[in-house]
Amino acid sequence: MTHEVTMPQLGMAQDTGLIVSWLKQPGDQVKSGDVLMEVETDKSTMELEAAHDGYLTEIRAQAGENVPVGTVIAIISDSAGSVAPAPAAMLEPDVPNSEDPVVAAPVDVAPALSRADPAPPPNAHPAPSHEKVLASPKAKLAAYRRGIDLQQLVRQGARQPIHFADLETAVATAAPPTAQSALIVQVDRQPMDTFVEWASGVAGKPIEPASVWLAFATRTFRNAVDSAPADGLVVEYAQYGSDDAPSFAVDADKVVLSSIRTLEQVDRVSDLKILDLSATRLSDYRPSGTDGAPALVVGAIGTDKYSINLHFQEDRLPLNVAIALLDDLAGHAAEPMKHLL
Amino acid sequence: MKKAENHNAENLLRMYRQMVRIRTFEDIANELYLSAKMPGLTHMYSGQEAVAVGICEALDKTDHITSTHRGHGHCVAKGAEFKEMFSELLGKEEGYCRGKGGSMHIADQDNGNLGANAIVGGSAGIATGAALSARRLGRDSVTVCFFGDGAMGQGLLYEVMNMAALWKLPVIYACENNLYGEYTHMSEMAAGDLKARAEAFGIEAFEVDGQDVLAVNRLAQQLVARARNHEGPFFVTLNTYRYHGHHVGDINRTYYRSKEEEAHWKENRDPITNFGAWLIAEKIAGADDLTSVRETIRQEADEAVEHALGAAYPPATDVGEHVYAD
Amino acid sequence: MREISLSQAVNEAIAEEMRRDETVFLLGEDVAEAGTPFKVLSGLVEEFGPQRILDTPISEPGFTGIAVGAAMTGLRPIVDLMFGDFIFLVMDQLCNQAAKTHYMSGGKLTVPMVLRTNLGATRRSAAQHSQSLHALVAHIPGLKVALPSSAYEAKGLLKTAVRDNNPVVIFEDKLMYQDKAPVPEEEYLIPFGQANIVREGRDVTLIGTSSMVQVAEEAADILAGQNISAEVVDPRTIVPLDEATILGSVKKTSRAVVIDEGHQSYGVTAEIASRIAEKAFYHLDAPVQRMGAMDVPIPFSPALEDLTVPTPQSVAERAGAAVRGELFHDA
Repeated sequence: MTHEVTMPQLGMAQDTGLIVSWLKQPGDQVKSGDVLMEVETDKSTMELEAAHDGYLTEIRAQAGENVPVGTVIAIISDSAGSVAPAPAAMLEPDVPNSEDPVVAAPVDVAPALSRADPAPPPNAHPAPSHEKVLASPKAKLAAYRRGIDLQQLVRQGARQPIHFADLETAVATAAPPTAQSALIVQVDRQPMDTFVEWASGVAGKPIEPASVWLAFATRTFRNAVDSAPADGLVVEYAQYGSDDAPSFAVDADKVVLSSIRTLEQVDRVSDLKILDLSATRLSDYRPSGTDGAPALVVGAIGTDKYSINLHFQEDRLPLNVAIALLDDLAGHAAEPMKHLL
Repeated sequence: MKKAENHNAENLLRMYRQMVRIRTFEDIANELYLSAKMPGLTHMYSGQEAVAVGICEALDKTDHITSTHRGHGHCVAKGAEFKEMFSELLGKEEGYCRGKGGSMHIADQDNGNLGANAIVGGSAGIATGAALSARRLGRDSVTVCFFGDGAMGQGLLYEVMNMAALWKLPVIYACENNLYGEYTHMSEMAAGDLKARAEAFGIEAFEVDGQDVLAVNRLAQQLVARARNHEGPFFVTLNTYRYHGHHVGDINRTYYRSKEEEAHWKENRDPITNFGAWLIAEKIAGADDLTSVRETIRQEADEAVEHALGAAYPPATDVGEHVYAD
Repeated sequence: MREISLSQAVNEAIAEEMRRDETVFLLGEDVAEAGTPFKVLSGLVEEFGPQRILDTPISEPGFTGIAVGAAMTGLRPIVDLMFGDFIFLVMDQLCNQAAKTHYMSGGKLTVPMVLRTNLGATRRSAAQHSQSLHALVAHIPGLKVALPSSAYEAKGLLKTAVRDNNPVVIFEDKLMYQDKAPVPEEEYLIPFGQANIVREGRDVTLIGTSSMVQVAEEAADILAGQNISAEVVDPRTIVPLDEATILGSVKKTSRAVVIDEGHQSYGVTAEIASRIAEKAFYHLDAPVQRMGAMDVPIPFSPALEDLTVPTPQSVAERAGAAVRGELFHDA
């Protein structure tokens, strides 16, 4: 009959034991209570005693090895029998420890649950945006389900954090979108082109047509619109047909043309937008939606005329103000030198 | 040891058998732990068998006991079966508590064991309450509260002894003085005389050799009978010794007690060896009979542990069961 | 309907249950002739005798432990713990023994006991007689916790507690013992785990426990004057907690203020608020508000003590801000 000697569990949180030394060798006769080996665990060294009388016939783990508890490390036999040679490496423990799969099973549920993302609702919804909008969970869910862009609401002036009631009010004013009105004027191209050339000569460096349009538009907007800010009037400029992103100019009418600087972004909404199509063969562009700012579209008619179109909402920019604005701008374009006065 | 007195041979042999059953159970539990087959840790009762058996042999099945973290001996002595006990120690569904209590909370209410308790002295209130129930419901049952010398440091014990004395409850406080509270000798933890503490409440207190099962049983029979007769409560100090460390992992313990001391108790004071020798000397049993008893019990225990090792763990749905009773 | 005080309601509940079931008995300090400092138990010892209305020494862990053992062996004890603050003394018997016995025994042993005690500040009793410690026991699985908010609730919940087969801790507000409410003569029980919608509302849910239900009702009156409609929900028991009713109400109103007299940190308000945040998040139109006792030991001086607990005014203010969308929290 043989008895297995296993690495004992000696501490409450012990997984392995380090064999310090064997005090008995294969072939030695042992008595119950004899010290077989020394084992180090939790920074203390303990003696492991034989539990049976007999012969130590086999040692399966050598001094210096760190052995999982429960692993058979030696065999005591009733008779001397055949003595097995000591192996180079230990064997795997033959007994499962308290980490039983039955006990572990519920733990596996957690990752499975976390993978179960809810399916998005069938309604169309806005693409994810990078600008963070502060809104209550209820407002966010309602916006998501109804396809409402909360950022759009913020641009329209909604106060943050947006609550559910704000959403109802904002949607009521935003939809249906107010129809856009349009005013159109045609002017000769030649006076503007000549003016740009002349101004470049005076400045000693090229003046972009964009600067001229920004300066003229800002001036005429300020003249026509009573509510225009005295400082910080923002006009946005985008040249269609080029790769350039829209740029912004603040108070472009207050500096000489050569000093107009455009910015990639500003911290407030534009008062007016210029969409420049004059480098193309197109004469107009009609924006379908609106975020409120009137849009000036500068287009081409043949090679010798500009078409200047003002798209606006009459509840924000009354018709007579719009007419004054565009008429003034057409005057600037026809006689650019007057701008200098 | 004295003559066989009131005991008939059958009773005496049953006491021997019960002590061997406890020792065998503990030997196997220790092997299970050391071979990492048993989760957690456990506290061995080996050496103290005469206390549990001497007292529980004086009790009826309907009498109650409360037990301690070192409770396997009380459980066996009160009539528990190996199979359910090993299953409980291994966390199996077939265990007495469906594997939810383990070694330190094993309970067997069918045999009157209200449970082991992992708080030292924690069951003193429960035992006293069980005695109050017996009194209120007109039952003649008695409750024995087992605890160690370490529990003499807990205030709860004195609160409930006071009430038990005031209300004359049928409870016996059995203090198993095994000399060590965890890793410290009781002389460093207990001032004065243990018995005197109970006597201060007007409780009759006794001291007995806890290695002598006959002496323990003789005293227990008297006190149980008197408690049934409304003469309780009582307090008993049973002087005994635990062979193992505080728990099974407490291997190197020479810093608090010597190997010589351990050897002395095992060689000279072993309750099973000495009682066996007495049975042979009194011609109540032959040496072969006792050997046969031990072998039979070992075989039963081996079969039980084999069964428990192969038994099923409780299903995962059990984790949320029994938090509340219906 | 007749009106009786909370104290009388408790007394009636105990008397009725003791008449109904011989195994019910009560034990604690000064419960017999003295009838407790609040005189809640007056007259019971005369009817049931000193064996069933059992005066104990001043040994809270001891008599609580005795109750646990008695409950395990056939009796149904009601433990009278004179002040809720003393619950710290009985924690081992209550939380390690009573709460776990059924589970540790695999369902074989049961502990059908009730621990009656109290909570509530503003009685000028200072730091060791004023605490509201129900969250401590509500944290422990195996215990049930009831918080009656009126005489009617106190009677119905206590009778249910006595018949429950688990350890139940019931906290009465010590300031409410003399408060009267309509209580029917005929017998009734209030089941555990069923919240009471005390008043219906549209704009905000005020979830209050114990005496904070009254505070919530008064706050709802103030809010009504501001044209804000508040719903008041009384969970009645925090273990088990009627989550469905609370969530249903919050889904309707989209806003919640949780009011409880325990300390605010790590307490009942935190538990209920977090369940709302977890399970009704997309219905919320304002951050869930928690209003508990200040995180200070309860001071003696009336000038200070009154500052530590939520009031109808402070609750109305917070709820109003939630409804008006004024809770920004520097977001």
